[in-house]
Amino acid sequence: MTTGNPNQLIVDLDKCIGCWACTNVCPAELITFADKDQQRTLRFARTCSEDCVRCAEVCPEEAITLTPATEIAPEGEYLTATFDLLGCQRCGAPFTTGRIVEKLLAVIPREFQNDAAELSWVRLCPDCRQLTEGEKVAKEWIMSRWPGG
Amino acid sequence: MSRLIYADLERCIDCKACEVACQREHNDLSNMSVVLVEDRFAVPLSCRHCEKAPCVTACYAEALISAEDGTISFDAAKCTGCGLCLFACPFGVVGFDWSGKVIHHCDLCAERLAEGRPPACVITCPTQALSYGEYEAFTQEAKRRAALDMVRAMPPGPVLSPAEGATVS
Repeated sequence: MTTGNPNQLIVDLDKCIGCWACTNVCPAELITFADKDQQRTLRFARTCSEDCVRCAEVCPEEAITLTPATEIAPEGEYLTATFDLLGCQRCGAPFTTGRIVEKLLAVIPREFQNDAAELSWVRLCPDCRQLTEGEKVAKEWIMSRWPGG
Repeated sequence: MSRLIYADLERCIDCKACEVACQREHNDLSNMSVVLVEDRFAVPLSCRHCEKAPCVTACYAEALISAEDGTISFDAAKCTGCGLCLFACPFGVVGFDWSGKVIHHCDLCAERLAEGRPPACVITCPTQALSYGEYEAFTQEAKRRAALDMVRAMPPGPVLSPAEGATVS
């Protein structure tokens, strides 16, 4: 249901980290993302006619503000944000944005960021984290089960 | 002491029955992942319910929290689907539900536990590689199994035969 009060969607591209939150919640699907060729592109409609603030509420970086629109942007006019996707250090597949990794490195305690081999699991994709952990666990088990080789 | 799912690597045969059981229990999304190492050693991986969980640290929406029983609990209603926890988990065991736009992780089959039933993977595992319980109980069982293996591997002899009336199962 709309109240007919259009909002202007303003995105601070210095704050946006390229996650999926806003793309999930817009009831009119006015915010979308696409990953292609090691790059993520987020597209934001400039005005929205829905009387909601969900995108602004879910943004982890508070990068979105909604203000009453003084004019309606032409349909089809979008703000785009592009992010390079980091390649997994083990398999090379692009898995997330550099800014997301930076944010995680900033909030996760330092002592958790490296495993015993001083490898940064943060720079591995989730699948390779599973493989790496599986290898570590298997090796520990082998050593305990057959000590001395 | 929290009750968690433990895996006896001696027994895992990489059959993936646990993944299928978990999928059936959780809307077609498995929280269990069996990793095969060097084509020989199978390791079942799922949420470890870390005491100091990076996923909880990363979750600004407080959808993932450390519960009082020592496990990580997830409230889908609060999840924004940002995906940060997927990349905060050191073990890569948080998944994303693209249709529901929320994450999923091993919840230790909380609904089954509330009915007094064990987690689906544990009850399904054909070799009983998976157990649900406290760490101490699991290590005791692992030692018991290792001791039994040793007894079975020994050549027969009067000292090592089971005592009259005793059975070795």
